Amino acid sequence: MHIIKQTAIVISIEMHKIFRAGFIPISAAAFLFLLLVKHGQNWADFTNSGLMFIVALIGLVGFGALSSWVFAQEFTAQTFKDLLALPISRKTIIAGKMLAIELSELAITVLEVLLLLGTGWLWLRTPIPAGQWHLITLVVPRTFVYNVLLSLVWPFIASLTRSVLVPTALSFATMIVAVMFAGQAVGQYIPWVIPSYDLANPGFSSSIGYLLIVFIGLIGIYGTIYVWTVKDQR
Amino acid sequence: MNAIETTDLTKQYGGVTALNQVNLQVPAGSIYGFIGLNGAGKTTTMRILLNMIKATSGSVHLLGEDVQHVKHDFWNKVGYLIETPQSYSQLTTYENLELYARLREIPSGVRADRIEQYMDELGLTAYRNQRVRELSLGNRQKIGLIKALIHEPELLLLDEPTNGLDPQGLNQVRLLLQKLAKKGTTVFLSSHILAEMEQMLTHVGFLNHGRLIRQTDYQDFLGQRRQPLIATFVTADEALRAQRVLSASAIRSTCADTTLTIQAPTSPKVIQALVTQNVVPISWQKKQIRLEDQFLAMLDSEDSNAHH
Repeated sequence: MHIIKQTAIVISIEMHKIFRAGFIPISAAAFLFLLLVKHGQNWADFTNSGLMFIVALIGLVGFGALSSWVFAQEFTAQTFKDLLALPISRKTIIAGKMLAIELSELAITVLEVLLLLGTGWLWLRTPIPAGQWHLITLVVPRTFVYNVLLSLVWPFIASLTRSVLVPTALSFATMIVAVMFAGQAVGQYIPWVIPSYDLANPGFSSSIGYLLIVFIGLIGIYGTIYVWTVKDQR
Repeated sequence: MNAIETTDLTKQYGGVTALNQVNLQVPAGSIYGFIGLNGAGKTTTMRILLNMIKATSGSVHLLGEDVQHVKHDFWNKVGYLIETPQSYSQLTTYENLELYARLREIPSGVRADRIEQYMDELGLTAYRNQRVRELSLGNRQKIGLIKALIHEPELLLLDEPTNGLDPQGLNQVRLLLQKLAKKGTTVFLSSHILAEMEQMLTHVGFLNHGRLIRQTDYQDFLGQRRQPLIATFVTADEALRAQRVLSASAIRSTCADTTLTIQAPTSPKVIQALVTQNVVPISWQKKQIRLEDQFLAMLDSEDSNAHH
């Protein structure tokens, strides 16, 4: 019970920092801007553009930047040492940070879906067709889970390199790869392409690809724990 | 009982020995000055004490417990400030302290009062709602200090706690540390700037090139040191003549203009030598012993011993 309470403390602290850093409104504003630029003339265009931004842009680069920042800021702001001799274990701090990242990513995704629906309704003056709504409810939860798992690797790279720039740049590179291979069969075997591939071909990715995504997430979790508890002897 | 006790603490980085068989003994309730030049190994020692990094060999006991085997809640008995303290720059002074107090599991009922109390004692109340990135180095240092003691620990480890503080800030910190020591908190502080520390120390330890060359009760340490005599003459010629007289009696001195600093003398012997030769100064005074001078003298003798 005590660990749950401590994890909740860390989550609330991290949520406070994420909120004050403006990640959620910045993501929402960026999404809204892109949506208005590339809006299309019907719900199908609106939904396709919106989902692409949610899955490939915010899902890969936005989540990458957020998850990198939550861990890297402890090194760039040099507050890491304040977290090393506390009544809360380093593993609990890592767990709390990762859960805070996931909750923030959920908040961002929900906000984006609401913006997509609201902007579409204001722009097109018609309710969303059942088919488009079905697509959103089918694609968004699945790709959200993929992107959350994939984003867990950035805390590891951020902790290893002690920077926010390296993992953010890498997450940007993954978006380019996703755009390049989303329409090709090989995309279903490249973890960072799978969310976009799934958007184009819902439910047709290979199970090997899904396992790779889980594997990437596990590497992220264990790698981060390794850096925070074993590797850091500087 | 010792609040800190290390046994043959050694740390090597590759082929470099950062700490060499350090045996610290810090009595509970003391204010212990851990003194060494930059690079002597002070921060490495602090980090090992806090179990942030592992020693190559040797052991560390804090408050009677082996730090390798303590439970996490043990760390609520210890507060620390390592190197230049940093905070989250996008947050305000109060937010930073509040978040840290929550990490220290301070109950919400007392959290706010305690933060306000320490901000008041260290003169931070005016900066309560200011973002940390807008604060001076001294004020950021004070935030670090409050973070170290917000949970009222039994043992405080402070690495260069007075960095960047102005004279008023120095005084505030000094008073606060003395108050804590009176309540029974053990304060272990390292510094390479000694003048600001000597007024509050009860014990000292000197670290040089990773070796603890001496540790002792501070008053005993001062008592063992002879205070030099400073004699002032009317003219520089007289001062030089006095130096020659003393030299003939095997008494070492250094001359600067009309002032003669006479090393380790017994006063009557000096006076007798000068009066006999009719070289009488216009004033005498015993030079105030400064920790810094003693430390530098100790380093000189260490170095010359090493050369021999």
